[in-house]
Amino acid sequence: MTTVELRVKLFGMLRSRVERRSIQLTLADSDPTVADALARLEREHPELAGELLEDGRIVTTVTVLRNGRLVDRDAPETVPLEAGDELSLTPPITGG
Amino acid sequence: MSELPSVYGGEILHVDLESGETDRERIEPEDARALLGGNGFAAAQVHEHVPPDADPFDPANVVVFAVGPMNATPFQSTSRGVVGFVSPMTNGFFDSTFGGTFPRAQKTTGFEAIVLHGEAPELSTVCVDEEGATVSEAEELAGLDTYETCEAVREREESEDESDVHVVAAGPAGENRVRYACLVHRGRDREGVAGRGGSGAVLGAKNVKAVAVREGSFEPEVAEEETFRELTMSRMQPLMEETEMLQEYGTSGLVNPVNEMGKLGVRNNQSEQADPEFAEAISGETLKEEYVTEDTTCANCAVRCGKHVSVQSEGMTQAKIPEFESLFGTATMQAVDDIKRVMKANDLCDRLGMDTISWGVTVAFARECAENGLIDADDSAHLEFGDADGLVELARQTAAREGIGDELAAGSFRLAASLPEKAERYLHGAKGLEFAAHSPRGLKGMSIGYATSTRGGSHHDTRPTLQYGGEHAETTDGTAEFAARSQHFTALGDSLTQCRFVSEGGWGKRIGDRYRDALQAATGWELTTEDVETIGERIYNLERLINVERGVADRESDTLPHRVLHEPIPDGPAAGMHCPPDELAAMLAEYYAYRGWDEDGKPTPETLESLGLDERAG
Ligand code: SF4
Repeated sequence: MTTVELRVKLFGMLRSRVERRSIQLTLADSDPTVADALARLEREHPELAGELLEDGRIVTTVTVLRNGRLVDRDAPETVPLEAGDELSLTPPITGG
Repeated sequence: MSELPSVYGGEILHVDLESGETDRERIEPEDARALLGGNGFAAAQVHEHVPPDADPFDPANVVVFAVGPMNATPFQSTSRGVVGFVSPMTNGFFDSTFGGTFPRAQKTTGFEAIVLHGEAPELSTVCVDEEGATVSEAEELAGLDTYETCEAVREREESEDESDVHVVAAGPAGENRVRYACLVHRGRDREGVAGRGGSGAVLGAKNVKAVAVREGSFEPEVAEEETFRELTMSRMQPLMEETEMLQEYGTSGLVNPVNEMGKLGVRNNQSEQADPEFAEAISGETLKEEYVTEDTTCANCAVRCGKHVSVQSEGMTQAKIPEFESLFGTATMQAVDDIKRVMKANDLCDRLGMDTISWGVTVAFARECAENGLIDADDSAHLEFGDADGLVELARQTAAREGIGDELAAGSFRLAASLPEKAERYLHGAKGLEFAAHSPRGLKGMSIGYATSTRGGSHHDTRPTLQYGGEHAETTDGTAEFAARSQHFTALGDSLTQCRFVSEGGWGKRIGDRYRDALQAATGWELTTEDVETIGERIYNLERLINVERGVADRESDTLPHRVLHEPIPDGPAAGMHCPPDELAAMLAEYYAYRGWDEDGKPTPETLESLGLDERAG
């Protein structure tokens, strides 16, 4: 089975929750998507359980970027992941 | 029309700085219904009193302090005030908002707007209470920084009477007419900065060092108290959820997210993504972990987005945290990641009274000009990207107008005009005002928004917030209308004088039924949501009208600088994005058509009539 290795960068409150700046993730699913990665993060890190996905959508309190590009919060299952990808989990941009 | 709703204090106070005389003007109910307050009132005063050919530093310019109808009610964070004037940066109408406790105190005097006319014969302060205003000579305040001035004036005024006094002050930069000098209010708990456009310079030109308000007894009464209270309560939870990042980090929390998107200007916007370690060093996360000592807040706000920082090695205790925009202007744009020195430069700007965005972007512009040999080597001390100590020194020199600081004090556009033509390629701003942090190349809504904005390079005309969420960031489809309606949203917000963070977080990022419901419950007016949007549209058109009459708003001036038009973002996630001239021209044509403006960008007589502005247009 092929595996996909990716780096997940954490910012803001998620970083304080996990107390890490990044997480290395290995996905063994075939054709993994951003939704798979987020579900996996929730499973592996209890601090993130329920903090990323709700009914398959990305929660409104988190913004997910794949290689710096915004992931549609309504359809994370449509965004495929490739080896070497970086996911950034940031607070949504408010203020400024 | 019926009576003026009881949320209004009812009067506008005019102060003649030369004679010290005052005059009280009754607010007409139809004017309140048409323009609400805040920047709507400020624009009306500027339009009525400032001749279109008056220089911003001429005594004929006015400075208007205005608050909104719901200030000092339970409506969340209507705690801001507006300073309206003709800007020495853009030569057009400008409204600059600030928080803290001054605006709320102004509301209790019953004066919805305080209009300063003319020029005081000597350095003075203006103290307003519910009876009127006193102009007092204040030579002893000359040269004091903004915080010292707020403190000195407050002590002086409070020693004469027990009631609390709230002060907003110009610093040495304002006295020296640095064109982007700002006004700083040191409230009981947090600072408020009317940062942009040069309000401090205009006050300085009027020989006014500070304006103080003594709390009065006026209490606004809302028309439908129960409904109003329920509405307000119902928005509390969404507000607190949506603003979690601001509660934790203040706006500095935006550094990493925007940098991750590759839309954060670096080295005078030559690129738009800093190295991740660079961004980390100046980020909200780092500031919170290492330097933040306490949260601070404006009146009536649970978000508490203000933070104080202490930096022992810089001798800074409980200083204001640099905002996201300031970190862009004074760190990434300078290629300076020494956060302690960046905080020092910001603290100096606050104390000396200078807008960190315009100052920072002007220095970055000068640094790129120096890099390209456009500034004489003799004048180039401290003009190297990455020079952190130089940054601090340049802040001091600019406020004092010493050496190259004297040229930096003019802003980047005027500085460019004094340099070889090639310098124009490095400008980063619109209509004479340097851009804030939100990318005019990476966010299409900002491209057209900045190009058409009343204030020039301001991020509070068209808002970037929805664009970061994916709306109108990378498409021009419908983006002209989006930008125009966002301008209505901000004009409405600035006439309500509600903090933008709170309105976007708790009440909605577009004008919607919630705003209508709240305004209706507060005033008792019968309103549709369209009526409410029309108020924003009317105010925006009035601002445009002022600028058209002043000759600073037309198709030619609705433009973007060379780099945005011709140089795509070179790398990073947003590589390739920019706003080529054809794209801008197409969006402008759509924008004018949507607004009912002619091909030269001027509101047509029919548009002015439909908005009830025809009489004002004369
Ligand atoms: S969110 Fe921040 S700026 Fe806005 S009112 Fe609250 S403390 Fe003031």
